[in-house]
Formats: sequence, structure tokens, C-alpha cells
Amino acid sequence: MTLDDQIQAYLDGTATEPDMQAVAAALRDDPTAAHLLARHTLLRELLEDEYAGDYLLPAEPLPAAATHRPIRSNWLPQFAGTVALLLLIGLAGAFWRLTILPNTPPAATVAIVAAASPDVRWQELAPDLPALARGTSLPAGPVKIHKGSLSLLLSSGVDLTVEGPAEFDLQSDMQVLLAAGHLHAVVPEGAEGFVIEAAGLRVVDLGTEFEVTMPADGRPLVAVSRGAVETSFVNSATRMRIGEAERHRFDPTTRTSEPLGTLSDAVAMNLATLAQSPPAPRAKTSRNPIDNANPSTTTEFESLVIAADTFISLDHSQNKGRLQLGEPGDSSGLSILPDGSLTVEHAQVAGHSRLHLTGGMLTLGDSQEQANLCLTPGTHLDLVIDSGYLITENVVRLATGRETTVDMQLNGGLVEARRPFVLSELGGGRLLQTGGQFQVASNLFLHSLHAKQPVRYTIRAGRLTGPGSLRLADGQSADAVLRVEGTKPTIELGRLIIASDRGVLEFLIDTTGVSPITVDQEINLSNQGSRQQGTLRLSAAADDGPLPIQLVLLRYRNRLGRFAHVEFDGLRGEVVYDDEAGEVRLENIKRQLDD
Amino acid sequence: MSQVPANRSHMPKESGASGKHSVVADSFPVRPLPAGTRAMPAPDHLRLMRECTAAWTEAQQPVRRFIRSLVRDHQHVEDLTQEVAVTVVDKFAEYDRSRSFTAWALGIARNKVMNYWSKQGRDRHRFDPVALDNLMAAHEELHRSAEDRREALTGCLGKLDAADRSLLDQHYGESMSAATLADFLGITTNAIYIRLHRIRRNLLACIERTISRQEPTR
Repeated sequence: MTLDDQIQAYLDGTATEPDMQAVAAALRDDPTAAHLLARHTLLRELLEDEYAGDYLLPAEPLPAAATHRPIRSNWLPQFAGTVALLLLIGLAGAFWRLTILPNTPPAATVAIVAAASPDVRWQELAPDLPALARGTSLPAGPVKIHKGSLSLLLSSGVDLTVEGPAEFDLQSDMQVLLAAGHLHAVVPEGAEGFVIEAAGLRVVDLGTEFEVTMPADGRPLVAVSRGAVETSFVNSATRMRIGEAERHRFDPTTRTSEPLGTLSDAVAMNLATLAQSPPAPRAKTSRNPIDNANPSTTTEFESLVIAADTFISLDHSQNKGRLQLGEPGDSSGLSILPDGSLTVEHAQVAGHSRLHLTGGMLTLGDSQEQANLCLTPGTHLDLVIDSGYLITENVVRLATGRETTVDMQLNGGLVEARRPFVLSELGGGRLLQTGGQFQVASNLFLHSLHAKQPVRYTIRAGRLTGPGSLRLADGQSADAVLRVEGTKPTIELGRLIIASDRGVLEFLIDTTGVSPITVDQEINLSNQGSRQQGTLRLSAAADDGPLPIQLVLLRYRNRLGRFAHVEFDGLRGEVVYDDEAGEVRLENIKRQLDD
Repeated sequence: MSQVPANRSHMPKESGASGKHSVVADSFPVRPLPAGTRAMPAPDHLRLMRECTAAWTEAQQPVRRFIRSLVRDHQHVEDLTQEVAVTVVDKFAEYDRSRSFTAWALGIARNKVMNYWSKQGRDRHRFDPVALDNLMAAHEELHRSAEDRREALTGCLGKLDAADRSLLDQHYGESMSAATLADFLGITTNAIYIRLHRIRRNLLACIERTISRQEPTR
């Protein structure tokens, strides 16, 4: 292994102890080694920047914020005592931007990125500009994103959420020009007068929360969820006030508008109607199910937003579009009834939400997008499937963000994961299967980088089937546990990989025994040179009957490595690896009561 | 300059969940005063702040990279960089102007990292002080050509063959870990690491060639 390889392995975090010692010695004795490490560190940074893809458009240096208003303190720091210090660091931030934008005059910060979904991409690349990240400051200027959602905090205090694809010009912290897409603005007290302009329509806030959507047909939609806005066309003296819970569509060519009904009407509307007037309204309190006016219709919609405290049942067909469940701090739910069918290209969950299939079909990730459910910290999703189909057409990551949790229950029906299915990415995840079938075409990953509790898949009944693989505890994972209880489950997988020592296979053995895990190809308990990996945990169910004397735990074609740890609870036995028969067995089983 | 930033916001230090290295995670947005408002005059203090700010602006990237060479967790890298920024401001009065500011800031960073190692316990004394000195010098020097290297990288990426480019696209663009990639491609994780090592080695060589061609004209 060359020094270059050793240095790279060190940066990868995969260096062995001898490699580490070699790198340490080279750094000490040979200044060129230090240069090589420095160059590799820089290269990784440059590659990440290059691929972050999320670049800020260089913004024609537009005139800086036209309107500067006295600022309220909602995003000022609470630490008045460290003001001088923060000012310095603040200046550092501002100056730093200058170093990477050598030809751009210092632009005033109009907004900062408060949150961005990981799939947000600036539409055009400008390699000299910084990657998009939480905390990035944006000067005035045009912004385009082609997917994902982006939350901006304007320096006026306005909270602006953008759903891609969208194109808009951040003219100042009080004025935004919307060319395409969907903006949702929460305007706090003190920032009244905030303007969104779309196709010559000026929407002036009068202290409110509202949305403006600019669909491809060029007719802007305005919906007010709180307070009121005043609308007028440019160069026209006619003004119209739109009050709370109202929605209007405007036609710039005729300069007319049509009301689209109040929010409660809208929730009672058939979704087919919503399809013609995206986006769906943000209903605050209604719990009315959507009427099943025309069950046989299949319609398309751009956006189905199920906002705070709204529960909707769907019993007819819907296709395409974006599903957003809930808002931070609130709860909401979507049930799909036996005749319902919903296909969403992009799904996002916030707040404490529930997605319930009692039949029908839900297809996630119809396009190239990954479905990252539960991104925002504090989000919780109950995903319950009693019957029907859940099909995932693309990579699904549950509990994608930190401090998020997903409880999934499969009681019946079929989950067909056609692409990788991750439970969970950074947050906590549990899956309890009491029936139905979970079919893995590609990989089912059980792991979490930041969960405090183990990620668990418990199977009491039903089927977990391949042809794909189950991977436990990839990376620096929390404990990842597959628990098989009794003999009701059927588990047949393509491969089973325990990717780190945090992977655990748990068998709860009762008087009838326990179902074996059958692996069509390979069971891999070996990783990066280690021949032992993970834990085999064997427990006896708490009843008095006799246990079988011998059990097959795993069936396989090939086996790599063995379990590093075997733990017994309430029984004793001998774990036998029989490669000839392709079995891992537990033999000489005896119940053992606590001494 | 009559407009002086007056308000600032403390940003959470958290970088995105994507785990991508955030280059601006510790920059603070600055808002100008309302037009027509004058800043409070405090000339000496202000002059000092400006001096410190300008110097830190120059130093923070090599400082972050130096820390990154020594600490794997991105979040810890950001936290440590932030700690260095705070110390730089605190101790700016003690900074000896005959020395390079970046070297001074790197010295602070070195202490922060050693402190961090001893708190972490396991990485204690991973590299000895001479090694850290060498690494500080290397990052200070490298920073001078960092922007040229960024430019060179774009050209060098264009010269990669399709398979290598696609691997980088998946690894960096789609944030797929080596283990995930191994699974997708049906080869071992180790083989993925080896391929990535080779690609990066070639990119470095290409960048060096590009830079050395540029030098005579400068």
C-alpha cells in the first residue's frame, strides 16, 4: 500500500493501525507527506463543493435591498452580551463571500437559508459560488431550483418557503418576483407590506400568511390562510382584498379574477377539482373527509398539501404530484381506503403525521426523486398498512433527518420495495410486522447514524421476502436488529449482510420453535478483513412448555464469517455452523431459568 | 463607508443533513442599517474589528481544512472552526503583527484539536507536534493556490472516463457510501475504496500539472 493509499484510507476512516502508524511517521519525518495530506483534504472539499450542485446563481448584481425597514428581533441573537463578538464573526462571514466572489461588489444579505431538503439543487451551476447549506446568506438576485424545498428567512423577518421547481427573483427582503413555482410566505408583525409579484399581479401583504403559485398556464393563484392581502395588477388602480381562507385565480390577460371557494369548501371538494386548481389549500381545522363524488375518476394534481390538524381519506384515484403531510408542531393524516389509489412523485412529512393504508394503493417516488420522509427534526410518522399495496418505485429513506422517528406497522397487504428502502437514515425507526408481505427487490437497509434507540424490524407473522438483500447496521450505525418471533413468519431473502458489529439477529423461540431465515445466496458476517461480525441473540418465550431440542436458525448457500457474539436469554444451546448442509443451527437446546 | 453592519444573527452551527461539507456554516448574515441611519462611532474598536475580520476571512479556510485533516466528523470540524473563530476574536489584541495571521490562527486550531483529542480519549496523540507543524505549514501554503486548484479540478473532471465519472457522481452527487456503492455494483467495499483512491490520485496529478503549466505566466 502506497503512502497515498494510506493517507486516503486515513481520510476515509478505514486505515488499519499499521497504516495509521505509517501515516503518523511520514507526517513527522517528511514534509511532502504533510503536503499530500493537505492536498487530499483540499481535493475532497473541492469535490464536495463541485458536486453539492447547489450553487447560488451569481445574481446579476441587482440593486441591493430597495426597502430596508426597521428590523424586528425575531432572528436576532439572544446573546446581547456577545454582540461585538458576533459582529466580528458576522463580518468574517460577509467578507468571506467576497473572497469567493472576487468580481462581485459586496451584496447585502437579503435572506438566509433556514432549511433545505437534501434534494434541492440550484438549477444552473456557478462553480465560483458556495454550496447551498443551512445558514448560507443570499444577496438580492434571481434564484432557480429545480426540485426540493427551501426555506428562506428574509432579513425583513418574512419566512418564505419555496417548492421546486421554482424560479423567482429576490429583489429585496420585502419584494419577490415569482416567475414559476410555489411560494408560501409567513409575514410577521412589522413586515406588513411585503410583496410577491407574479405575471404583473402584485400581492401586497396586510399582515398574514399566504401563498402564491405561478403555474405553467400563467394564471397566478393566491390563497390566504391567515389575515389578508391586497392584490392589484401593475399599472392598474383597481385593488382587491383577499381575506382569510379565500383563494383566487387571476388571469393577467383579461385582468380578472375568479374565486375558488373558501378553504373549508375546498376540503370538501373532490380532489378532482383540486387537480384543476393546484395547489390544494392549507386547511387548518377541517376534518371533513373528501367527498367521493366521482370514484372512478383518475386525475392528476401538482400538489396535495395536508396541513395542520387535517385528516383526509382518499377513496378514488389520484396520480402524480407532491404529497406533503403536516407542518412542524402539528399533526395530520392521510388514509387510503380500499378504492383509493395515490401516486406521488415526491412525499414529505412534517409534524406528527399518520399515513394509513386500509386498502387501495400508494405508490411513492414515481420519478427519479428519492423519497426522504421525515426530514425536519421533531417529525414523527406512523406508517400503518392494514391492507392494500405500498409500492416504492425509487429510493425511500424513512426518518431521513436527525431526531425524527418512524413507526411502521405492516398488518396486512403488500409492501413492494422496488428500489433501496432505508429504515432509517439519521433518525429512529421501528417496523413491526404482524401480517402481510414485505417484498424487497433491491436492498432493505436497517441502520441509523444518529438514533438513540436500536433500529428494529420485528416480525411476528407474515412474509419478508427477496429477491433482494437485507443489510443491517451499515456505517457508524446504532444497533440494527432483526427480530424473528416464533414460527409464524416466513423469511426468504436473497442475501443477508451484517455490515458492522452493531447488527443483531434476534430469535424468540417458543414451544413450536422459531422460523429460520432462508438466504438464497449468501450470508455475510464478515467485513473488511474481520471474520466475525454482529450478534446472535437467542431468547426463550416466557411460557412453560418444552422447547424443541434442535432448530435451524439460518439456511444459506454461502456463508462468510460468523457471529462475533452469541447471547442467550432463558435458554442454552450450542450454535453450529454446518456449511455442508448450509445451515446455522442451535443444538442441545435447554430451557434455563434464572438462577 | 457610512453603512456598517449593525445587526447579525447567530446561525445554528448545524450543517445540512446531507452531511455535505458546508463552507459557510459559520458565516453570519449581516444586514445593513436602515438607509439614513448612522452607525455608532467607535473608531478604534471598529478599526480593530475590521482588521481582525479581514484577517480571519483569509485564514478560516486553511484553518477549517487543517482541522478537517485531523478530525473526521464534519460536525466536529465545524464546531472546532467556530471555536477557533471565537478565540481569534478574543485574543486578537495579543496577535503579534510581525507574524502571519494564518499561522497564528492555525496555532490556535492546533491547540483546539489537541484539546479535542484528549477529550475524545481514543485519538489521543494520534500525530505528534512535529507532524502537526508540518501539516500547518502545508495548509498555509496550499491555500494560496486553492482557487486555482478549484478551477483546475473542473477541467480535470472533464477528462475522466465515463465509469470513473459515474462513480464520483454516485459517491459525491448522490451521497452513496462506499458500502452502498459496493452493493449496487456488486463488488466489495474495498474495491470501491481502491477505485476512488485511484481516481482521486489521478485528479490530484492532473491538478498539479494544470497548476504548474499556469505558473510561468503568473
